[in-house]
Amino acid sequence: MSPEVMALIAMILVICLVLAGVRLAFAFMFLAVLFGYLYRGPTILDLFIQKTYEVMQNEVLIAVPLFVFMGLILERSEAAERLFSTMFQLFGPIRGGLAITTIIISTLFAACTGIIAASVTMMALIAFPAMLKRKYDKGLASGVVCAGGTLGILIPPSVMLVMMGPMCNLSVAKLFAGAMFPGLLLSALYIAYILLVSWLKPEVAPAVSVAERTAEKKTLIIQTLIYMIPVFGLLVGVLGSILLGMATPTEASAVGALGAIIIALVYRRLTLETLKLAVYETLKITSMVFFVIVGAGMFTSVFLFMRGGAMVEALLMATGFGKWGILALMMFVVFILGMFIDWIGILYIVLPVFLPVAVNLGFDPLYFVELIAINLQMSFLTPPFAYAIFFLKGVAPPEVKTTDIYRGVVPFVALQAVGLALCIAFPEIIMWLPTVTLK
Amino acid sequence: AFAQTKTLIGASCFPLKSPLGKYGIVSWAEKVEAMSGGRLKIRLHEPGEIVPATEVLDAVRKGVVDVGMNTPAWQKGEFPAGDLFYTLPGGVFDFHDLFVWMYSGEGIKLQQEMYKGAVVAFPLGLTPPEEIWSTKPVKTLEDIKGLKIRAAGLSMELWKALGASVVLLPAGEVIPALRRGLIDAAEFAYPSMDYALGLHEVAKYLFNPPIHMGSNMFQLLINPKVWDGLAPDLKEIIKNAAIAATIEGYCQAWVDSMEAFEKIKQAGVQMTKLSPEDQKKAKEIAFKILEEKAKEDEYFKKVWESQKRFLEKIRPFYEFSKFDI
Amino acid sequence: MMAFVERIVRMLGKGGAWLVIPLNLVVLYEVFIRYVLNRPTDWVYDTAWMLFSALFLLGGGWTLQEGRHVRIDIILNALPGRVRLVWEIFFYVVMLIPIMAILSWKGVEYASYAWRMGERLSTTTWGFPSAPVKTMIPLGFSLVLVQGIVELIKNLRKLKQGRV
Ligand code: NA
Ligand code: NA
Repeated sequence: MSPEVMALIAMILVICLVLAGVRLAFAFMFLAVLFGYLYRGPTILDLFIQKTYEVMQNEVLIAVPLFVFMGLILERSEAAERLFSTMFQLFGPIRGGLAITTIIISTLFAACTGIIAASVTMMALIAFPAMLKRKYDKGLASGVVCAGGTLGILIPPSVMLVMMGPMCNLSVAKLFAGAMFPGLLLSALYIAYILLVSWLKPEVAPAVSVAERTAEKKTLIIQTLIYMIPVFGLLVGVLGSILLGMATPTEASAVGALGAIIIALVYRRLTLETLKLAVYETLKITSMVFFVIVGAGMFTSVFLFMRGGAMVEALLMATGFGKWGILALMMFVVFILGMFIDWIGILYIVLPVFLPVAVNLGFDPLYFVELIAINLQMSFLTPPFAYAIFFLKGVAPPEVKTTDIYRGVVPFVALQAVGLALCIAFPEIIMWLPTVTLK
Repeated sequence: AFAQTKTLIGASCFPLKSPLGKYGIVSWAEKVEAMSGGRLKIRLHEPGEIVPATEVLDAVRKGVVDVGMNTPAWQKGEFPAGDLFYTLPGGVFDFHDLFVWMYSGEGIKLQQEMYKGAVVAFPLGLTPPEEIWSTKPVKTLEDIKGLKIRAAGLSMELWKALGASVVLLPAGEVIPALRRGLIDAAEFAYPSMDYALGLHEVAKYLFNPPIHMGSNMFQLLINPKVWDGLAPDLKEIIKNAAIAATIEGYCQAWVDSMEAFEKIKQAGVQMTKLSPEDQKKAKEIAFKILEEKAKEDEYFKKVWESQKRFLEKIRPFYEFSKFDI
Repeated sequence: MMAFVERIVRMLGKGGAWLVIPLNLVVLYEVFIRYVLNRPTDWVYDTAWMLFSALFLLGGGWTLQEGRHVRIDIILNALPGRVRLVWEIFFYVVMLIPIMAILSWKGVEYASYAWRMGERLSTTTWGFPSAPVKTMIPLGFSLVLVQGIVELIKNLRKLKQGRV
């Protein structure tokens, strides 16, 4: 059997095993060892330890556990609750006001945390019940929480972008800068959609009665501003220091974690128990992520050893679609995989194979990688495998049915597709900020 | 005997399209194929594609791949003497010394001996001298004090001794870090590579001579079992293709750099040279560092002693023959 | 016996979890010493990646115990319990256990070479011994291995008792 055919079989098998419920990390490791052995014999086994050691020595990836830790502490700090409770009194009386507030707070927190688990859970716990209580449509409320929370992994800092940097040999700071405007664009699209819907169908996003206001409008504005200070402080400290060049993403993640701890201390929400839970949860997420990274590294090596990369490139070229056609095809593949496979899996199955093809076609690697990152936003919302929906379902009251959520996320997936299309058509949305701040 | 085709699988520590890869293992592989009339083919893989860039030695030793291009300085934890086959700081060896010591003196023999048969090693790839970029003018050694510099290898010790602080950064972060002021200076590579990367756009000053290092020399590693299985003529081809590739690549890198140097000048980069006194001081410090290192590791000492003996032999005639103007 | 193994795995996982605090502190220290005192260090760089490696390797076993290694069980959940159980047993017997055993064994070779040679880290000029951090590799994989064996036994018992 030719190595290319073996590579193709390995690729199909990895997708099959993952869909059959095999834990991602071990599906990768198993196939790497199996196919590596079949192709190269026992000497291949040493490669897997070298790959592990490579991941261990990767200084850039240290930002992952630190951003996770920061996000978890922030989630338990009550910063989001306080901000929401004043802002919703302020904007509640507007049609769709609660949904818009949710998106704004999601965007702010997206710029503070790097994981969607933290941001979706935060909004699902705070904003979701508030919207349901005020008779918002369950679907719309679900869509807003899922889409808003998902921004956490696109708007920097982002654990996903940290992982993409070393994979693609791109500066993480640059990736952060490139994801900023696409993230804000999506956020703006969501708000525009909410305004449109609540204007067309007032019953899905009713205005809250002014009677619910407990304080003067002026007081509320001041309170909102006060509660925004810590969030803004963190945002400027972390993002600002990376984008303005004062610190590396790893250093910024450590400063950010300290900032989150200080906020939790100020709000008197930091107990030993909170810290313990955050620390343990950080470990579980970190170990999960890094076992996948290590396993995927092993699998990718074996796949490329069998010249799988060249095979995929040849297959894509054989379509005769041309530069933009192939880009569209690759984006479509990522979207379809996004329905069934976890984003980490997609990243590690697809990116090492697609990126060289894209570069050969003449696309800027930064542009292409950011397009994948934006595309992956959809994967969090597209059933059957959708993290955002899982997290929301985990904390939503029982009267919210899964079908409500599915119905609610559809328009937001469409909005994400529009955002992706806009970024493809206008590369400046991605490329402008990295060009001015970082070259 | 009937000529059979054999394919060796190779890993590189440098991207194959970069000058270091192109003028190193890629050129070598092409020559091997041509010289052997196609009996020996080499299939090359990019760094990280199969083997991590820093693990090429281990991968060749264990037979994960058959051959590889490696930087000996990246395994200094296991082979501290590896640095000495790569480059020496402070102008102790200039870009001519290392090359001559390697090929005519004891270099090749000592390098092979260092690996104790774990791999078969030949020199492959030699670069023109490097240069140091900075965002602040550096005219004297005093100006180096307090500088935050990105460095690697033995030169890290020298920068520290000169009062600079050394920052470790992956290659991809150097340009953004210079632009953002995260570092004030960086040693990177030679003019054509630096120009291609755009270092002249982020750092307006360049200083030399390359007190951090002379030329860099890299290596070709072959798995000993693979080596033993090769016909004698193929072994000769492998060895000589490496010499040919090294010399050709070195000259080509100079040609590229001559053009690039002109462009860097035209870009308005200010170039300064350290005074002879400062150069001498840097060299003395580098000597001391090497002496210190020699105390820590026996094999380092052996190689360093060989290099010192070589310097004593080559310097008299070298100084006598070189123009002073 | 099984409870004892699980306790060890959990303890090492929890212990590893707390490493995030010193990790955070050393990186903060580097920020401080670089920006405030303008004197970067190399030991921080090495210490940071060693702490981070220990963190995720020590946690692999506990993460398995807690069922937190990411998986996509949508199709699986639609299948009868018995089929699920058999598939799970197949996973442990064919995939997880042999692979973790191989990686542990190779990791032992890798680490013991570093111990024998007295190898040092190549990343900076600090030159700290590389053996301790390399030992984390076989340790991490074998924690997953032993937890995997425990999970297998649990699943076999379930199958035997018909508790599906
Ligand atoms: Na974020
Ligand atoms: Na999905």
